[in-house]
Amino acid sequence: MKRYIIKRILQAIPTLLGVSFLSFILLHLFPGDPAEIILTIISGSEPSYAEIQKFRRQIGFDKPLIVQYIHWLSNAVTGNFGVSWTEGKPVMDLIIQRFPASAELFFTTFAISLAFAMVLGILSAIYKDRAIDHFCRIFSLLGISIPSFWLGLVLIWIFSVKLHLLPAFGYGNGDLKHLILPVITWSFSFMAIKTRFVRSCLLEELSKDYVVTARAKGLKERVVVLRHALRNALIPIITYFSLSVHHLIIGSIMVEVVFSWPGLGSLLVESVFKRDFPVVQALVFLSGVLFVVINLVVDLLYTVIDPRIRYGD
Amino acid sequence: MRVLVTKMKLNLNKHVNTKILRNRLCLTGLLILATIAVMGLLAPLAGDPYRTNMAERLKPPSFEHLFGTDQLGRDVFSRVVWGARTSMLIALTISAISMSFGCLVGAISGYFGGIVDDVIGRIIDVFLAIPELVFNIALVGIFCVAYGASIWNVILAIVVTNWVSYARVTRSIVLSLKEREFVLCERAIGAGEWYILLRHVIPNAVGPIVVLATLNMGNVIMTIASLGFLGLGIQPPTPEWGQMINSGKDYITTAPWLTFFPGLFIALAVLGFNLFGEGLRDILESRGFVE
Repeated sequence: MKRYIIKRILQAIPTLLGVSFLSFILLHLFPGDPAEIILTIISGSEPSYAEIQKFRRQIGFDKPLIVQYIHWLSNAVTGNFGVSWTEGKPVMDLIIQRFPASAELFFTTFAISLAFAMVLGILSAIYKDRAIDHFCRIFSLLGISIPSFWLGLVLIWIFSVKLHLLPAFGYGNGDLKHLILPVITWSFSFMAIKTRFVRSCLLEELSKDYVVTARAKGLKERVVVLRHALRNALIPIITYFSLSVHHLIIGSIMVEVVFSWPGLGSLLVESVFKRDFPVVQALVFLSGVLFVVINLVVDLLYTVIDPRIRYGD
Repeated sequence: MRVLVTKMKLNLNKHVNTKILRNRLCLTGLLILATIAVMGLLAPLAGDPYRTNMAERLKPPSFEHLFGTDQLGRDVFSRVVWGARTSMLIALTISAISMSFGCLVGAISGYFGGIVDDVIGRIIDVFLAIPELVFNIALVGIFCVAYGASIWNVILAIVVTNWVSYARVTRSIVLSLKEREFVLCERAIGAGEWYILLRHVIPNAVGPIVVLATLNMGNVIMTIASLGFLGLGIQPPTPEWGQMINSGKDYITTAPWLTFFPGLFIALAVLGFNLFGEGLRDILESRGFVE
């Protein structure tokens, strides 16, 4: 077991290195002289040749790419992503400042979608091919097809413009009313695919022999589904949910922009517009690392949660 | 033996065709897509999407302007119809490029195995780790600064993340195909590896890849629209659904039709591809073509 854990951690390292290299190389994609372009963005005017030369040495662009990469990576590991080109503050400060708003939206949405997806998924598995199953299928197809940014605007139109019930934009300094529309918008698209996944996992378990045995013993259907099948189905479901961080991050960008929510998603978009690329670079890097780490933690947790998993060698 | 294989394929095609017509999901999806395709093709009949008319600003839907007019007095209906052409053409270009590249990389990785497979597998892992839209946004931003705004920025930025799913799926199919009898048979006859790969392995992977491509078209259309909405996609005045919603959102209190209609068509297009793709998968699954 210990060997498996070490092996699994070692396996994650090449991916992490790859993610870091890809994020690092972003700033070197500028054609011609990146230093000149960067200096133009920072100073806002056409720099002279001497200024460019000085700046190049200052940010280390005169060194070989690999040396620059190692330098960047050793800083990034300690959370130092350099200084923002437009704000003059460390990139990490900007990210930490925006993190709480994102986290609030993130966890609320995750919890609500998880609850709804489980309930709807279980119902449509139990009542397979009945009305509720068809309803859930249509619901989840709409969920993946309707653009969240459009749904957000439609909800704003209904609840803020027409009914004056809820605030349309902004964070509202923790006022929960501001959280309602973004969470509904985001959950709708997020739980769509999850509902289908819960359904198919549960159906697969329900078709197994032990379920037949349980039923033959005369157990109540409720017990068979909830105590026996669902417990086993939970393993792939939890994996799927934890690995869907991607959908959450992608959704967060659109929803935060629609509702002017001051989180990391809108920070990313604002930074692209302000050409503040160190911030963009850091966000690309961190979102990749987040995925790899969650992936790793979930895998390792299984060795604890599921006694059936025994890793050889 | 080749004749036999061709004959089997023909039968399969006939079978799939009739199944598509019987499968309700597939048929609905196909109808939606056909409508949008016809819209795109007949766009010139819908009028000029660029003609501004300041006297007719922000007019609500009427017989003259079915979807109303926008802040510059342009006809929203003709912009939505032309938008179908923009979205479809760009999505097809992106899919074609990423499919050819991704399938080739995946096939090479799965077929040749060894260190090639290890390296390509790692690269795929890295691309899967970064959320696509985050990477798309970063790339579009950088391309814009580097090369100036152009449609190709959007295409390139999406291709960079989109080829991965094709590579992954092709790789796993090829892995399962390469030890099958018909491949061993060809090899025994003395066929070259590349010939076997291109002539026998890839054609057999077509079913699952078509399903993937259909579902993926929906994703690509959504990504184009999302970038458009963020103001990073196709730039105005070219009509594009996401970008139309972006410029219409400031008028949501007075002219909600500016955001409503383009969004409806994004949803329809994505729904069409999802329905068609899911239906196709059902059909191929029942034939044992997709696991």
